Amino acid sequence: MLQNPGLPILNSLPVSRRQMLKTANAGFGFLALASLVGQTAPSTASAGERPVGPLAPKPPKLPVKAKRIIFLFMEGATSQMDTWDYKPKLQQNGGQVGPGGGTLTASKFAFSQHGQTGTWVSELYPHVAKHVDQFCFIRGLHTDTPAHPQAVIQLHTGAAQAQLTRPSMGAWLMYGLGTENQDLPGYITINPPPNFGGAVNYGSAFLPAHYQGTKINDSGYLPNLKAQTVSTLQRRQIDLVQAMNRDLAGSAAAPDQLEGVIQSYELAFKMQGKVPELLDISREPQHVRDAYGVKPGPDGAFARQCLMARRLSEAGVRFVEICQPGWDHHNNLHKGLIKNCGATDQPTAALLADLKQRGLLDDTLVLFGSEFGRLPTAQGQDGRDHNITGYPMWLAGAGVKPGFSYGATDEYGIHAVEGRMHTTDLHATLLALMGLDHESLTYRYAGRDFRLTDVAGNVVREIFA
Amino acid sequence: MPFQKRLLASLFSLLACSLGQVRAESTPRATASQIEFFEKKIRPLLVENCFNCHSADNGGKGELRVDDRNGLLEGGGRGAAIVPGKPEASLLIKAVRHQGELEMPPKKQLTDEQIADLEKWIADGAAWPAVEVPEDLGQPKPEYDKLRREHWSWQPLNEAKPPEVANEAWVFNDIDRFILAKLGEKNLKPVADADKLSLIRRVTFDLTGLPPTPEEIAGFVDNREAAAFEKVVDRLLQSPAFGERWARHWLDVARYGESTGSARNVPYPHAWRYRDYVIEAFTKDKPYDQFLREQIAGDLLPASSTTEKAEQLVATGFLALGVKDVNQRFKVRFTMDNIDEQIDTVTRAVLGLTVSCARCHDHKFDPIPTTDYYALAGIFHSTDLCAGVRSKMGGGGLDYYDNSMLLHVGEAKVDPTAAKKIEELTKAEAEAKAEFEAIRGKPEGLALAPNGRPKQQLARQKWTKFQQELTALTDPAAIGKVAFGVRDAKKIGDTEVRIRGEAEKLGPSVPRGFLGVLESLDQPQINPKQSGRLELAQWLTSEQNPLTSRVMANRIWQHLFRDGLVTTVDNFGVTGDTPSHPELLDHLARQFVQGGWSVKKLVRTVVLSHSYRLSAESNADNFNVDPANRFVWRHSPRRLEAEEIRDAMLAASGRLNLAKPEASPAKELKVIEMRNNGPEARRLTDLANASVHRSLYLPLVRGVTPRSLEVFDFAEQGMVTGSRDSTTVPTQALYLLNDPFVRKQSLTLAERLLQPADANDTNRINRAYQLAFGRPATSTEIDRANSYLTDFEAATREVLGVTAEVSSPDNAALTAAANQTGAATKQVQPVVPVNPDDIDPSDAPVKEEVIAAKDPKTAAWASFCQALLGTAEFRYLK
Repeated sequence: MLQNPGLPILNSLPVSRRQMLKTANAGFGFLALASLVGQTAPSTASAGERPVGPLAPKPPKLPVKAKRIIFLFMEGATSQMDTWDYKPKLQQNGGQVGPGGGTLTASKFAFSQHGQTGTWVSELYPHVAKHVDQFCFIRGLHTDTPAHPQAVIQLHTGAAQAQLTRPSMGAWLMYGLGTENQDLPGYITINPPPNFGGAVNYGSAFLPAHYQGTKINDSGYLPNLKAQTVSTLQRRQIDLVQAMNRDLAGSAAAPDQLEGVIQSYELAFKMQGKVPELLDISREPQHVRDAYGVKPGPDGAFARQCLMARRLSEAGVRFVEICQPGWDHHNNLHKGLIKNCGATDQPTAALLADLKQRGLLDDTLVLFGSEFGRLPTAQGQDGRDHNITGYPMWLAGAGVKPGFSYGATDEYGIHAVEGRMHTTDLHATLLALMGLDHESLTYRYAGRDFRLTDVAGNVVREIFA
Repeated sequence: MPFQKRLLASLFSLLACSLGQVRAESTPRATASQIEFFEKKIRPLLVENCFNCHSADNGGKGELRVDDRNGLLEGGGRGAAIVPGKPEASLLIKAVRHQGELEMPPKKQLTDEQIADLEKWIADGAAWPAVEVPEDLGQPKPEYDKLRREHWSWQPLNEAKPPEVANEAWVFNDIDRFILAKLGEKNLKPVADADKLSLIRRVTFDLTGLPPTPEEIAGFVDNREAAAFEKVVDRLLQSPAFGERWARHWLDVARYGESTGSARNVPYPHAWRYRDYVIEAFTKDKPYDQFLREQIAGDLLPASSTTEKAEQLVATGFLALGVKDVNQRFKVRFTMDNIDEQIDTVTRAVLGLTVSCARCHDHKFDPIPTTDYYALAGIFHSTDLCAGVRSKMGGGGLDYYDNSMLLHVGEAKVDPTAAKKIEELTKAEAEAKAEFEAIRGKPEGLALAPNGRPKQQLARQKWTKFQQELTALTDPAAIGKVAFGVRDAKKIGDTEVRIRGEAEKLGPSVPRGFLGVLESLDQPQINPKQSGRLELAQWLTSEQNPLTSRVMANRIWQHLFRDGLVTTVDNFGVTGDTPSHPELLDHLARQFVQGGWSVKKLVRTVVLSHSYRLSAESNADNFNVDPANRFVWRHSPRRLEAEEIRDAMLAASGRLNLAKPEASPAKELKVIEMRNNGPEARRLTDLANASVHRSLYLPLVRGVTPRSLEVFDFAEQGMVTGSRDSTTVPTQALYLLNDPFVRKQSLTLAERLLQPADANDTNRINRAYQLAFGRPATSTEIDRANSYLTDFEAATREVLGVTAEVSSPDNAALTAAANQTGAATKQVQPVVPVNPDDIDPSDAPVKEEVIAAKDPKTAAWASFCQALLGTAEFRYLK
């Protein structure tokens, strides 16, 4: 049913496609394998220079609007009626009973118009508001489950049922596109939620493990990355390993993956040098760190993540996700928003400015949002409950219309009424921006061809630049 | 096809008349005007006034939903919301009148007219539009009939005789006839036999997951007897390590894990009993049919002793240990999702069929109608899933723990002196709970206590503390032996088709039964007083069931030849692979059944074939025809699995402890949501890093996979994994270069080599090669090693100074840096937050063990040993 016409049929090959992916290498050992199954390696390839293998860059089917994504994940569900979604009627009718029950609660924060577009933004985001003319809002999002664990999992993997382990969106991107920089992981997630599915949110599930996300923390820690011996001594050891591996390569019983093994050691050696350097934000000039608001401790965590995200994107990491938690304001809405918006405002604005100044916004897409939104009605003294029936996100940069708004919720911001986009539509649209057709990006597992969008998903082309 | 007819007949009768069960139907006798009244008056009223808090689109406050008739009938925490025909008895009416304790909607009263409408609607039977049942539900499909007749895998086993071959001398047993004949057909020639060293390494890893010791290798290589190999095989089959290795294969298929994983990761502290059951089954060579029957219906099987009964109960853990979404708001969805997980696991693990695809619609590829799915679902619907957890919307502490859902597998030891303490704690717990509830979410609860935390958080902690103390004295898990598994439910019966798989959308009920895809197989009559799992187990393990034996024979072949005869080992359906040697597969399946379903016998037969003993050497002629080696012209080299790599390192260093450890480190975990950066996860990680036991005993809480397993494509614990990946990525090289575990084994091996002071370096190098690769070093290798050791030692002195350590001095700085951020600056203590959804994602401090050699000479040897452990030769078998 979901057969991809562009891919060879599973059983017609001496080595099945799945088998090939499952056993393939990171290095050019793959080249031999690729030619065996009739796939041609890039015609100009000289094995030493051009990367091949499952993580090599693959030409996408559709026009490429964006080469990479930075997702700023606001975990816990930001109250949109206090930030991005100005609802005059709500401001007028605070205290009255709202549609569907509950007491309408006007935002306590003042909204004003910004930029050429006159977009309304609340006073909580003064720095980010300066960039609204670049934003492409999607305001009619909706999803299936009003509980964080399931909604976070669905946002990251598309699985509407949380007990189903499915590949994450980043893993699908790796599978479909490979990585730009072979010396780096192509998919990095910084400080992901330690619950709500945990590693499932950046896992590869039934896709081969090399497509999974690499988790790092906001101090740049990655297990096993730091050389435990001085470089010259370690190099000696690697040379010995490689000499023994090459001996084996000369024998007729050498495993198919041997070239890949040899290559992986060289890559690892390079990564030890490059990756810590890349993650070390102290290498940035002071004025850049100041612009992001970098400081030690938990209060500076998001600023550090933003700066790392820029450095990683600049180096060609395909998908970077960073996370600001603590938006679940069932109570303490007022102070909580001041705190969290305060933690995210300056770094987000600095990231946008920095990307733009470096020309990276031309091919990098920034996505900002939560697993769902909140209700305009009150919960307790000072809180708002979850809302999955209508909430916004914004995009900026590569591939999307700047100064544009798509979709809308009703006058109070409860239900998406125009330009409705389900989580699967968001996934389909993001894949399309990256040049992938969500219907043909399939992987055969357990007897059928799986997709990020399962059997749904519409690409919303209206937002394309 | 008697079953099919019976099913259809009953379906039609069900569709024609209405069902007896109230729950099952959507007011079938509702008149058009009643429906119109509902749509005009009632639905808009509910949408307008109730949906914000009580529907699928929100939290379902009080666990009540009013957007579904069954939701109203079942009600929430306060019981049924409506009683059709009896408005006065309906809680909903009491609530909207604002006369009792419960006032709904809060702060706003419905008009008298609206209340009257609700009363009338309930009095008239609470009409709700019927679920639309697809017209083709349960209808015969011609394309299914054709598939049933034609697809290879569900036909009875063929009885093909082993073919005649010209080269009789090549044949060791019948397997070789099939292999050789097919090679001839394809113009392929088998390569020469493997050398004895390769062969004993191959068979020892394949059968036990461990490397052969240098003594075992020497014993075999020097033994010129014809039966030398057979002796090795029999020794390996008898070793406990065989049971451990082959148990792990089954645990992959059984998606074994020690927590719920998913949305809220709640531990399964008794899961290890099932793991141990599986190990014992393979060690003792429990017949595979019995093994399956126990796992599916152990509770319903006769037992001759309490020990046997306990074992059978533990076996049913197979059905209980899957991923679960305990945060599911709606019980009916939790139930149906878990049933789906059980159906998926059983059918893929045992039959190689993807029956789960038929949950929402008829299977698109295989002849499995959705009615067959719900026939199976009825069996599991009549079964209590005892995994010690309940589903709940939100919640913290022990909220997800349900100790009524446990199986008792031993006497409870009740301490008579504890009665008074229990009484006191019961009271204290109730009071603490009331205190917490009283201030929760209110200003006094949110006010900060002197320690800077909200008062309600302290109240919650106090409550949890009493809860835990009470649990420690009363919990069956604390005072007796318990296991996870299943038992027959109190309510036994068929279940309804769920339209489009939506748990709430009830279609007609389907009689419990099995799959019609196996036409030739008799369907046992289900005992109406039982769930039907017993009959399911019988049907699965019938000697006439061609899938069960084929699938397992293929799994066994795969574990010995790297690839199955059918490469899609978990999918024998239309979208799966077709066998490279169909007659051989059936021959093996038949032998398996005839041999009393003995796994050991089949393994023995296969490894004693000539085909298994071929060299791994490739040649161009064969390679050009069959590069994937599907026809077995050579032995396919394979990378060791994660457990084998870790075990082999421990074996080389001499630190491997082959004794079976008691239980699992996860045993100590409370049934409280775990986050993967918290102190419990850290403790498990530390224990895993320090363990010297075989890898299958490492803690396997989902999402907290030990690094030594994770880097080498460990089984995805969320689903049936019949074949693991074998990827090659730089993270593996980084692990081999820098991980404290690898460095520690290297250093220990170095110290082991250096210890006999009288040994010379050549002997030491040879010994190192023996321990790592099972062979002595060549003279070139000895020269290379010697110069490496000399140069490395000198370089170490030069770089680091005479007294320096191997370890880079800045490792300490790295650890310190990691400690400076996020949670590291806070107290790391298990705190129960008021809002369990507010969790700091910062990592707990990472303290990597520093591995340092005592002097440059040891450092050089450690580096040399680490190089050996890092080579492809170490982790690839030929």
